Amino acid sequence: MEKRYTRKKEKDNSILTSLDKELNAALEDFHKQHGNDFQALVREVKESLKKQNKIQSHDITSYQI
Amino acid sequence: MTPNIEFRPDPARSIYVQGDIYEDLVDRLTPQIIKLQNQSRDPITVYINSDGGDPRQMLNLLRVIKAPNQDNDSSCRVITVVVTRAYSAAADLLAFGDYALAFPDSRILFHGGRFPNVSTLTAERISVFAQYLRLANENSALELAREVEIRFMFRFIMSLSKFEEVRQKENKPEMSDLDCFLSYISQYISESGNKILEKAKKRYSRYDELVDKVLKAKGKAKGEKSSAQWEGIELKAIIDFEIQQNSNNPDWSFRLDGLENLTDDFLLFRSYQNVSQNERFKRICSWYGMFLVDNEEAKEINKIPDENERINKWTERVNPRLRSIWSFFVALCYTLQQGEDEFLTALDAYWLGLIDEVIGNDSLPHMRGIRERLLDEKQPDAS
Repeated sequence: MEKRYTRKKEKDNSILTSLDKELNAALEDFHKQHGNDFQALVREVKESLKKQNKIQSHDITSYQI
Repeated sequence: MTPNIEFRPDPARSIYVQGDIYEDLVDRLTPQIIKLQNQSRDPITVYINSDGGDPRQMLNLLRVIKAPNQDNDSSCRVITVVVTRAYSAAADLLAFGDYALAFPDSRILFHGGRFPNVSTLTAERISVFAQYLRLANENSALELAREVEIRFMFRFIMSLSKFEEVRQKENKPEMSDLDCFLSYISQYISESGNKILEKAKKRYSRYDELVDKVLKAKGKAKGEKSSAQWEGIELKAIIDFEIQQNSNNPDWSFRLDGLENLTDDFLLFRSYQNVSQNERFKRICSWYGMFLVDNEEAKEINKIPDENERINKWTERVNPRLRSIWSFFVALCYTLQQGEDEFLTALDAYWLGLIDEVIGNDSLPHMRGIRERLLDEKQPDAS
């Protein structure tokens, strides 16, 4: 038999959740490649949709970011 | 882009909030929610078509969706989608989603709380109701601020590259970041949305002067003080502020209008204290700081191995630039939760940081795009 005090696991004091950390990593990666040119993201999304033949022919008002 | 379930509505794992949000709706949806939670801990989508209801029941609904399990797994992420309308408590529900979307023709309405069907109003009751509503609206504003802060600041960050253009167009090279941002987004927002922005600007300007006056008074105070003593110093500074603000109005008095303003200003200052000194603001600084400094400095700060030290460094570095944006953001949340009926379009809600994405509009950057792009890069064969 053993009687031994076991320390409780230290509480994680991080203010960032695991998804926060993933998103933060994604933001950092984006920043490394494009700085704060978010129009680059818009272009990438449109390219991806074009590859999937998903760009619609009807008018969607564009916003220049 | 490889779809990421954390950002995609899923009708197979969804509930529908249709009609008024009261206890019977929550009771009706609870068995379905529990079943979904037990099937997996993947996100749960909440489709919304509602005029609102009881804010407490809206929060109860969210609590049920995010309830833990016996294995202490992460809560189910909540993806909210407004299909045609999200008014009042339903608008709060939409904004409180971990990822919030709107169909392009949907309408969203934020407003302050109200008491339904109060048939007998005495002077005492009016006073109690007014005080209750004021505190409830303040609470709602702070809750809204907590839930949408990341989104709003993302809107600011993604608009940064346009500020020089705005300064040149308006021929005002000294225009602040905040003024540039507001000028920039106002062109994409409806008339209703711009009315809300104007009200928020007025509130913010008042905020700025008030906070400055109170902080100066507190700075002069010496020695250890209790909370109540600090509040006394704040109230005295606010009284001086009110007298100064109304010095040109001979009919103004504390008895007629001033006491109510005094209470509002005190609560306004308290809200500033709450949001400006907390961990959430540090989180914002650590997320977006890299967009506000040059690449070399960003690299150096991100090399700091200890997470908390890194976050503190980011906060110290970008605090001055983000502080005013943050203060305006809080003023905006107050305006939304105290205002009357200004209906917002999906685009208004996007530009005001209340939602993440307008479904089908591929010209508006969103976190989903950033996240799915990274996933594609890590798994190039998956796309």
